[in-house]
Amino acid sequence: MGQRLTVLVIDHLLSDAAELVDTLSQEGCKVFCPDHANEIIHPFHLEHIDLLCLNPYTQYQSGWQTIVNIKDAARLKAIPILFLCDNNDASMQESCMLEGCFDILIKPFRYRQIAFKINAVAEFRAMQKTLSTQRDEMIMHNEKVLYDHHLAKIVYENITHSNCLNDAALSHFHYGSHTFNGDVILAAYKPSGGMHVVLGDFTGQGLSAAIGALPLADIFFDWTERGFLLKQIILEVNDRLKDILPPNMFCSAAFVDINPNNDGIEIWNGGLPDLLYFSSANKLPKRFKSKNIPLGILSSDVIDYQIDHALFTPGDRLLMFSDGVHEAVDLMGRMFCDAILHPLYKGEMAVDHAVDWLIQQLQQEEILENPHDDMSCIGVRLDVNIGMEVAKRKSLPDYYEVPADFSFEYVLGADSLRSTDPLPYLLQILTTVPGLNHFSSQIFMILSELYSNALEHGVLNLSSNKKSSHDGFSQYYEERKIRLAELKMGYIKFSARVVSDTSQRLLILSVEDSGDGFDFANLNYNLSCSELLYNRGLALLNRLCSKLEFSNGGRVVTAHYQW
Amino acid sequence: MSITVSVNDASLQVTIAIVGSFDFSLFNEFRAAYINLKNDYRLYVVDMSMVEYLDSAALGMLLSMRNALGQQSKIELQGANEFIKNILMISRFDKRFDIH
Repeated sequence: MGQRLTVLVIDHLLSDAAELVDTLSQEGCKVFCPDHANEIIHPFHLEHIDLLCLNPYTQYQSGWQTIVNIKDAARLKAIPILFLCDNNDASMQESCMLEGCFDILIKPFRYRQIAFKINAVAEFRAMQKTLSTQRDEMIMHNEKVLYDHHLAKIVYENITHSNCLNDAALSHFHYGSHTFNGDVILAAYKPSGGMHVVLGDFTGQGLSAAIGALPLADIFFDWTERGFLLKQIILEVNDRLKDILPPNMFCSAAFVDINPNNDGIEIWNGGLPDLLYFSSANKLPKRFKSKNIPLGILSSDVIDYQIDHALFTPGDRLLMFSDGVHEAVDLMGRMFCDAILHPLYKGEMAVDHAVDWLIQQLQQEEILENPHDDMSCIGVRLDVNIGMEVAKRKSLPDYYEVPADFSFEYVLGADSLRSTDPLPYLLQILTTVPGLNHFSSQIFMILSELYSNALEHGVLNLSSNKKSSHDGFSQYYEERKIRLAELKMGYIKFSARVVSDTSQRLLILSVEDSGDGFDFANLNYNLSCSELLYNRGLALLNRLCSKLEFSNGGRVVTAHYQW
Repeated sequence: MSITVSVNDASLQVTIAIVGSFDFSLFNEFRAAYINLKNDYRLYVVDMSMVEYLDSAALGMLLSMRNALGQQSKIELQGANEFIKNILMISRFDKRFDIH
C-alpha cells in the first residue's frame, strides 16, 4: 500500500526524522525530508505530496504556522497530516486533534505503528482521489448540460416563437418550473384572414416535456401558413406525436380557429381545463369542455374528432389556461379551480383584465416564486379584424404579381380508391396557387363533383336513378359504401394544369375513369327543378366553370375554371 | 363531430349546425339530426355559417330533409357564405327553404 505515497517529513529533531524516513522508505514510500522547512511549503511541492509528517514544535518555522500555510496552499487537496508527538505530552496530542490532524505518531516510533498508519493513509488517499475525479467529472458534465440546454433553448425559442402572440387581440402568460417549459402557446395568422391559436400542455416538465413542442410548433406554423384547415393540422400533429413520443407521454391541448369572415370560432379541446367564453349577452361564461382524447395517444384513423363552435360579436372574449393554473395550490392548500377561480367562473369580474388578474392571484398565493408545474394562459379579444390586415397585405401581391405555371397527374388504382380520399390533397396543392386560395370552396365543389361522378357512375357503376326517392337516396349511399369496399379493379386519373399570369388565370381539371362512359349528348343542365334530389352536380359545374367538356365516350370530363 | 343539434322545446325550434365540409360523408349523420327527434318542431334552422365546403350531395340531403319533414315545418338555411348562398340560389332553393 505504502509504496504509492509521497511523504514530506518535517522534524527539527534530526535523529527522529532520520528514523522515520528510514521506516517509511522501507514501507515503499517516496520521502522528502528537507533541512529547511520554508522551502517546501510551496503549492508546487504540495501538489505531489500525499502525506505530511510534522513535529508541531519544529524550529524551522512555527509548526502551527506550517499547518495553516499548507491548508491555505492546498485548500482543495486536503493533505492528511500525521503529527509527531511525545508519548507524555497529552495536551499537545489534544491540540493536534483540535487542529484537524489525520492522526498522531507517538514517539518513540514503533515500526508496526507506522506501517498501520501508512496503510490507513493510503486508503484514505485512494478514496479521496476517486472522489475528486468524480467531482471534476460532475463539474464538466454539468457545464456540458448547461451548454446543451443553452443551445436547445435557442432552437426551441426560434421554432416556438415565430408567433403572432403580440397581436393586440391576444394577452398571455407563460411561467415555467424549469429552463424549458412543457406548455406551449402558439398563434399564427391564416392566409385568408383570421388566426389559429393553440395552447398545449405536454406531460411532465422541463426538457423532456418541451421536446414534443418542436414538431407541434413546426406543423402548426407551416400548415397554417399554407392554408390548411384546423382539422387537418390537428390530425397531422396527433399522428406525428403518436409516432415520436414514448407511450407515457402525450399533449393535452386546445386549438382555436378564429374566422373573422363569418364571425365564427371553432374550438377543439383535448384534455385542457374548460375554455371560458365571455360574451356581453350572458353574465356566466360558456364553458367548452374537453371532448377529445389528448394528442399523441390514438392514431388519427380511430379518433373521434369533436369540435365546438360559436358565433362572436366584437368584444367577446375567450380564455384558456393549462392544468398548472387550474390545479395550482393556494397558501391554504386549496386548488385554484376550487377556490381562487370562482369569480372567473361566475362572471363576477372585468374579463378585460382576466389574464392580469390571474397573474396577480398566482403572485399573491406565492406560486410564481416556486412553481411546481408549468403555467400558461391566453386570452383572445374576438374581433372582425383579427388577422385581416395581414391577409390583405399578403393577398394583394400574391394575387396580381406572382405567376404560376404547372401541371400534374394523380392516378388512383382500386386499392387507393378504397382507402384514400384524394380531395384534401388535391385541394391543398391547388390552393397553394397565389390567388386561387381565395376560391377553395369553388375548387372543392368542382373537384368533388368530378370525383364523385367518376367514382360512383364510372368505377362503381351506380345509377343516379336510384336516388329518385328518399329511400333510394339512402340506399344509393349504402350501395356506394358496399361496392367501394369490395372494389378490385378500376382507376381514376386526375390531370390538373394551372396557368396564372398577367393575362389569364386558368385552372384546367380533367378527371378520367375506367368505367363505361355515358351519353353526354343528352345532358340537361336545367336547374329549375328544385325538387329533384339528384342530377344537380354537372349543372352547377356548368355554371361555375367557363367550359365543361366531355370526351372518350364520357369517360373524361374536363372543367375550365377562371378566377 | 361536424354536426351539432340543439333543441328548444319551448319555442319548438331545432338548430342543426354544420362545421367544415358539408358533403355526402355526412349523409347518415345529417339525417339522424332531424329524423330521430321526438317532437314535431315548427322551425328547423340549418346553421351553415361554419360550412366551408359543399357538394351537390349536400343539396340532395337538404331536399331529402325538406321531403321528410311535414310541410307545416319551416326550414331556414342560415349564415351560408356568399359562394354557397349563390349555389343555393341558382339551385332555386329559395322556393323551398328560407335562405338567410
